[in-house]
Amino acid sequence: MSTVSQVAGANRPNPATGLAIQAQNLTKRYGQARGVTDLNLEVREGEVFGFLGPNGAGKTTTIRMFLNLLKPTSGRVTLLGLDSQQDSVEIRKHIGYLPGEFSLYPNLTGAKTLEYFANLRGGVDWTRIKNMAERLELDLTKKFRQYSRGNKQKVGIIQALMHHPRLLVLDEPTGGLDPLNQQEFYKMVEEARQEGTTVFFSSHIMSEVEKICDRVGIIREGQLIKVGNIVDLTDLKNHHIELIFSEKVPAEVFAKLPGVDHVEASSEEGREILRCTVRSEALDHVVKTAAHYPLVDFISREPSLEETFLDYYRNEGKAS
Amino acid sequence: MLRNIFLKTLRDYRWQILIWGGGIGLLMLVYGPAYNSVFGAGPNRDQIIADYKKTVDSFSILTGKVYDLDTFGGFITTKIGSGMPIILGIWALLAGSMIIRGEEERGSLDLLLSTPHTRTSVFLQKWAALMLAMAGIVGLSFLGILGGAAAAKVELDPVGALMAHINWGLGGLVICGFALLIGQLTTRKAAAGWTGGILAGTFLLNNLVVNVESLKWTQYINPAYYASLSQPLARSVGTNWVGIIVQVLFMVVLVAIGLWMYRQRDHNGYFELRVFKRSESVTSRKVRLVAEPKEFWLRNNFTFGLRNALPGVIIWGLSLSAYSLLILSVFDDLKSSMVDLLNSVDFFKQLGFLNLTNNENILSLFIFLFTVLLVAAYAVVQVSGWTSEENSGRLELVLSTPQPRWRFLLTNFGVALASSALMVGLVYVIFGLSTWAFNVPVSFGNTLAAYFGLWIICVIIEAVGFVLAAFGPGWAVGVTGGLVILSYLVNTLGDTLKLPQAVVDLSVFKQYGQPLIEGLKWTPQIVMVVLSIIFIGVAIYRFRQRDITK
Repeated sequence: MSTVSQVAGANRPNPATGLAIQAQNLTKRYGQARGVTDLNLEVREGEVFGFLGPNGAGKTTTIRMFLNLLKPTSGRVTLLGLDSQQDSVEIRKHIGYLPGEFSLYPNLTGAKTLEYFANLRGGVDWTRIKNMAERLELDLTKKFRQYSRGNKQKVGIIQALMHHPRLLVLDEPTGGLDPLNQQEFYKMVEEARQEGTTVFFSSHIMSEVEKICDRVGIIREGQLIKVGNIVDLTDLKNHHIELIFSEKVPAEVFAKLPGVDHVEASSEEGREILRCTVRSEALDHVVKTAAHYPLVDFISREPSLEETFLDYYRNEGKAS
Repeated sequence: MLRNIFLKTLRDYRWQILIWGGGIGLLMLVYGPAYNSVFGAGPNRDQIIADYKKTVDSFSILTGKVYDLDTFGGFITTKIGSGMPIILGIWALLAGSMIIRGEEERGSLDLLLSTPHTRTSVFLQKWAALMLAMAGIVGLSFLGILGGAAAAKVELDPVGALMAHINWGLGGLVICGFALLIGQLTTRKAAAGWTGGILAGTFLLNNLVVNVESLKWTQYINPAYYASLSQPLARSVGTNWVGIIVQVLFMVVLVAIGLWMYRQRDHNGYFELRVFKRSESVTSRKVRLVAEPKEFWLRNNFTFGLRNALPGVIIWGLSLSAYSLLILSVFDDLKSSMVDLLNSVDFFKQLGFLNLTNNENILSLFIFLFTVLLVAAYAVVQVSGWTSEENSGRLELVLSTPQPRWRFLLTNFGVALASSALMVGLVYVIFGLSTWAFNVPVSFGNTLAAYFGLWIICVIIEAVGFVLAAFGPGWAVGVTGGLVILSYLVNTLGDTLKLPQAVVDLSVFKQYGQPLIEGLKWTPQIVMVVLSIIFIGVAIYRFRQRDITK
């Protein structure tokens, strides 16, 4: 149909808050079953926000409430300064959405599927669609049912990005994509960010979250348990410390230090080794305490975000 | 039961065997006492049997012939013998379209084919399990009839009963074969639909042939004819081995062709003859760039919905027209052979066919009695199309575009109404041209009213379906279909069952009446349109409020 290009910044709501997403006490229950409980979250305009959690934690439920596909049991969400339920249609003009699982019309080609969705959005510049298809190596002449899982995902990605949305909501977007196409997709997200698009990104793949997100929220059993910068999460990291002494040291001295866990002492090849995990803020204490003993070597290994994430879940699980 | 594909498939059928076989078996069980209560052993027995035969004979177009009512076996053959192929056929078309295509669409066949089994082995093991499941169903029915005869202390030839069940089972397996074969060419739903058409078409044609000499040739290619040759429970007919053998041949050929197609085609693809296969153009680039497909049908939800509905409009429209054409092409034969019989039976007067000597009455009986039900089924299919948007997960993406929910629902309802109007309109035009071509004069005004009334039936059924879908897309189609069947039965059997008039009036088919004979009653039509508007209002309200299911 038409080739009206919607560009960033044109005809958009202008929230005074500077927040792209604001969820307040957002709760969803399915009868007695848990969905999401009292979720409070703020995502700033222009940032890439990673939403982490294991399967069944409530990531998709939260996202579907953003899109007004699910009605909250209580609480509210505003997107781009507009109420997710009252102003749902206006919001959707400025949103690109990729569900975790979706289905399209099996007998329609990729090109026709995207043309249809472009028309539902009032027209999109076809050159952009063609360019994205080329970048993702997607053959638009094939019917949707003939596409592999990864190619179906590419159609979903293009329909989410094609109209230069102001807010991108992506639910586990790289599922099925091969590594090369994943890299291309990350570039597309980065370009969108440079255009000023806010990206809300659900995933359980730590490497991609670490790579493209500014901030991260962690959800577990329907509750948001942590929000922070990627750097903040790094601060959460339990450093794996190995202290090597020339003679035996009392392990209990280190075990009593705040922020120090899993203290193990052993003798290897005539050296006394003390291993422990140390939170970032406790590192100073450990170093100062170790200085009282004949220290030969000090090895600190910073774990990946994935290890941190798993540790965090494990510890929270124990706490609850 | 999980040791191989055959046993696993059989295990999957266990509930179906119990429910279908148990249900039919129970029916058989109660027919023993029912036979005694209808005919008894009193002095008027012969007169009762003669009256009963006369009444049932008048249904022969719907139910087939009458057999030896003076025996329990003949009674069973008359009462349920012609219905059994339909009952078993419905199970057969569902099962036959499910075993390969259905599992393929569900994704479970992918994993099965990743094990070291050939396609032939998978296909044949599943088919063998299906045959055994059919044997289980008719086996339970066989036990039911034996129990019924024993309970009522009536005479029954057990070998005849066994042969009757084998014959019914074979008829069902032929239908399974059709579903299995058609499933290699299209989707599961379409395969089930086309097989349903074959089941209804062959059954009606076989019954029609009894009265229409010029259609006799069709029986030789009609599997329903070969099934009807054997009536082992009726002593005047018995078992016809030619009929049995031809049915076995039908089944073997259908299954063999189905297997051949399955071996040739791609997994998740459709069978195409090599001569019709489109050759893929070879391009040097990995990605073929395409121009913007500026297609009219992709412009908005309405045109897009209509685009998806059009194949159904054409298939249903032409199928219904083909049936009308068939009746009109043999109209003179039909009229002369049926008028005397129809006039002598009160039942048809109860249905509103007051004067069976004019064209409108006969066409109303032979065409509209079926057409109205099939048009209602088309309306249910439209409801199914709407619910599948949500059930398949497509709604998730469509509703992420700036479409208000109310507009999206209303547009889809509009598509259902427009496609129904197009389908009914197509049938109307072909019917009108056919009456002219075959020189069967009918009232122009009443014909127009009859087809307009068919559209109103679509409107109310679709509105009911949409409002139910707004509450539960998962069960809306089943409930809508159940209401349609209930409504039809209430209209057809209301007088016989002495139902209160207020209940009978609730039937949309009652409100449709016999417009070809007496015109359309406008007040009920207006009421149905107003009710439809209210239903859609409720549907919009509810659809806006609720969660979108996945």
